[in-house]
Amino acid sequence: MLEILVVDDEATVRRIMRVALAKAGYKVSVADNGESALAAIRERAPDVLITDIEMPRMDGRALCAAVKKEFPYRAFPIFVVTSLTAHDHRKWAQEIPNLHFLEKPVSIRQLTARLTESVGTETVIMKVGR
Amino acid sequence: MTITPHCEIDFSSYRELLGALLPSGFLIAVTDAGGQTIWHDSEFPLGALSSVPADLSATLAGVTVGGAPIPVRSETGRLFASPVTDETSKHYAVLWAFAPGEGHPPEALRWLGTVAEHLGKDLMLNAELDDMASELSERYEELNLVYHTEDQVNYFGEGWAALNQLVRNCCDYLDVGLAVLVVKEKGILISQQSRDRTVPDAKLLTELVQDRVFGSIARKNAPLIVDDLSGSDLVANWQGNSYRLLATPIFDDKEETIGVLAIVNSYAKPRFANSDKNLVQVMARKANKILHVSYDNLTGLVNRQGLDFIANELLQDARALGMTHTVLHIDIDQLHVINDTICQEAGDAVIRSMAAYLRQTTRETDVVCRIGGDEMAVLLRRCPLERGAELADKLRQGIADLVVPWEDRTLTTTASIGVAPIEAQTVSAQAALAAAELACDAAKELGNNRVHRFHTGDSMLMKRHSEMEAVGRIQSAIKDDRFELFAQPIAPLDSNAAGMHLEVLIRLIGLDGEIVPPGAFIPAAERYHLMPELDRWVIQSLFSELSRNRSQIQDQLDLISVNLSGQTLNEQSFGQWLAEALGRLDFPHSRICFEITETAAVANLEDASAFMRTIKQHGCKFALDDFGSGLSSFGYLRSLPVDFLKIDGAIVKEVVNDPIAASMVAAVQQVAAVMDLETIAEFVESDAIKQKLREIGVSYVQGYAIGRPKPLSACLYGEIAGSKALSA
Repeated sequence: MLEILVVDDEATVRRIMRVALAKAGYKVSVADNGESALAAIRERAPDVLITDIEMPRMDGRALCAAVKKEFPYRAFPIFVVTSLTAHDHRKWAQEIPNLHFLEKPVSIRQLTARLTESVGTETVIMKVGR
Repeated sequence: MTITPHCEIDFSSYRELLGALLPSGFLIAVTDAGGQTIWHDSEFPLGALSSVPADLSATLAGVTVGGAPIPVRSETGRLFASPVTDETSKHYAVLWAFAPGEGHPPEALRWLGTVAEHLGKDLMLNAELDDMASELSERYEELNLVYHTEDQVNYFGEGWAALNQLVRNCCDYLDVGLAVLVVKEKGILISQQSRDRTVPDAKLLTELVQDRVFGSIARKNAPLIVDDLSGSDLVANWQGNSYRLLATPIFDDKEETIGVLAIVNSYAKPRFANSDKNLVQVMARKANKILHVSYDNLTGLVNRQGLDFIANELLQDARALGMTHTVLHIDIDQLHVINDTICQEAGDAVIRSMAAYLRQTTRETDVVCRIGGDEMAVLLRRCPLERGAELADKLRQGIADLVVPWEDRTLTTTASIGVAPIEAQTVSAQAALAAAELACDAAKELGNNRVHRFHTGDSMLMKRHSEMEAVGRIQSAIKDDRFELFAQPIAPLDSNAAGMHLEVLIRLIGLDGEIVPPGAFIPAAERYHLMPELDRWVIQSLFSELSRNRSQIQDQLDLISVNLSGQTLNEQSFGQWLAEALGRLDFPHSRICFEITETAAVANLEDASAFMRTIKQHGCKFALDDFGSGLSSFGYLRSLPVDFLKIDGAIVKEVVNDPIAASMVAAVQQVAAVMDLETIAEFVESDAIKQKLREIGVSYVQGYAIGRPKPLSACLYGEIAGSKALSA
């Protein structure tokens, strides 16, 4: 079962994503900011990372940058959840490979379609790790 | 897949509580209903749990909520189990306590039951929250469906793409196997299947929606939900699998069913609920809105925009495959006689029955369009010119035989038809349509009720040839941005008024750099509906010029006037576009004036005045152009919020020699004075005219005697001093 790490500071968003993705057949873990997400990634790399941008302590941009620095050979895709209006602020993302944008409100059906596209349903992804 | 509400629970705080309540040495663990460990103290002997008897859950079921824990025999120490349940004894988990060694449990172990009870409530609440979250994510899908389905379209091609997307979205977001949109009379059939599972009977189901489902819905004018297709009276001897179906009508303006939007799912999926029905009805309304842009309201036929789009497609087909198509331009003879002598509704009835006749008589693959008032067109797909001309004559005969009942009488009419080919060597779709129109004009000139075929070189048709060339020139100029802004000064006759006042004009730059005068391309642009594009170009270029050089210009420039054509005003999306353009403009809005011709404003008085009021809220001014040339009733001036009246040049030119012209100008001036409007006289070609206008009391003058049109940049930056001198 593919494992997805969902990072969002809003408990409601975390819960909705966790429940909906679990229903769609994924194993889901959650974190409420970039720091705890990074710790979780160090412990066991997820198959997919889905993160919000605006978060306390370490935001989504910093998390992506930290992941890129710490795991330069990362294979798992990162999905960044953003609002429709935030198109202008996407420049930073150009340096992060294998990064995709998701628009709010996230449609789980669209998301699962894109997950299947980028990681497959049963494909084993080479995990980062130690 | 089970959802695990315990993800959200902080077990360490329960551990802390138990640590304070139980004697030291006890270790804690929690397992879920299936026996999997959810949380445990690091020293907890998990091995002890494996020796627990299999029927423990049966034993635990007897324990009341909050009751004493059940002691379980263990080799290495004392093990106690407390069931974690909700009020209905739904078993969520087991809370375990372990103490090494032998001996009886102390009284304090009762606390274990109490903590388990609270943990149960916590889990139950979290399970409820998860259910709500699950429900919410379903609602998100619906929100996304409505949100991501566009219903604002500007032209036929966009509308077609939008309808396809709408059906696609129904399929994706509602997670159904098949979505079908049928609008029969417009020849629309869009059927889309789910991306990740195929529907074995898709073809059969699509036909069913097209036929029986549409029929049933059209009779009742109401949505239809079928829980099990195989048991429904919609189908007799259904051979396929069983399905659930939800279909909603697509209404026209008269609330009559013209089509159907349906979704189909396998019987194994949940039945369609009312919320699904509501959602599909919203989508059906969106579909209707899209249809509106591309179809004529009166007849339901494809409109001019649609005709252009489809003609273009046919031309591509002709070029790619060497096919010949034929276009018929049909003009109803003397329709205005019916309109004038009986009433407009009678004329409409004639148009409607002709539309129905053409639709019935032509093939499904042919396209019948209403171009405007009394003009229609038929695109005959893959039909050589010869056949097309024969068919045109049959249609002409059929139209002459049509009898339209109207109240206690019957109406008859005839039509003139022009025939032209769309073939590989056709220059453009526009050219083919224009050729058919020219041929139709020829048929009319030869005396109505006849068919005329277009021949290149036909001398009657050559006179408009230059116009068609002009169309090509305009289109290529639009593509290459080969236009330039010119401006002509407008001077106050009262010499106290100060700053510069300009009217912005457009000039086309020819391929070899020469300036093409407006008379050589504006009439063609009007005829072929290119004015909205030209007007937008002018506004965009002017606004960016003003914004860019605001500091340099704003001290000199008092007012700058821009022309808006009637075609542009008629575009529904233009108001919004202009408001957005004004939003970006960094120049005082009060110095922008839009000129609208009297005829354009009066043609659609209500819309024009609504448009003007909206734009006036942005601070802009309005002038009524060519005033006096058209219908010239002062009555409607009340309802138009204008600031200036521009007196038609044809009258102004004559003020010196023609006393009637002079008194007309004076009359306009009087009305303007009463209504507190200022007047501008155009075509002021001599000082004598200027003098006469001064006597009448006209406020501003414009014309060769004041200043000729020059490039806008020269007006704004080059010769500011010069233009000031002119206005003295």
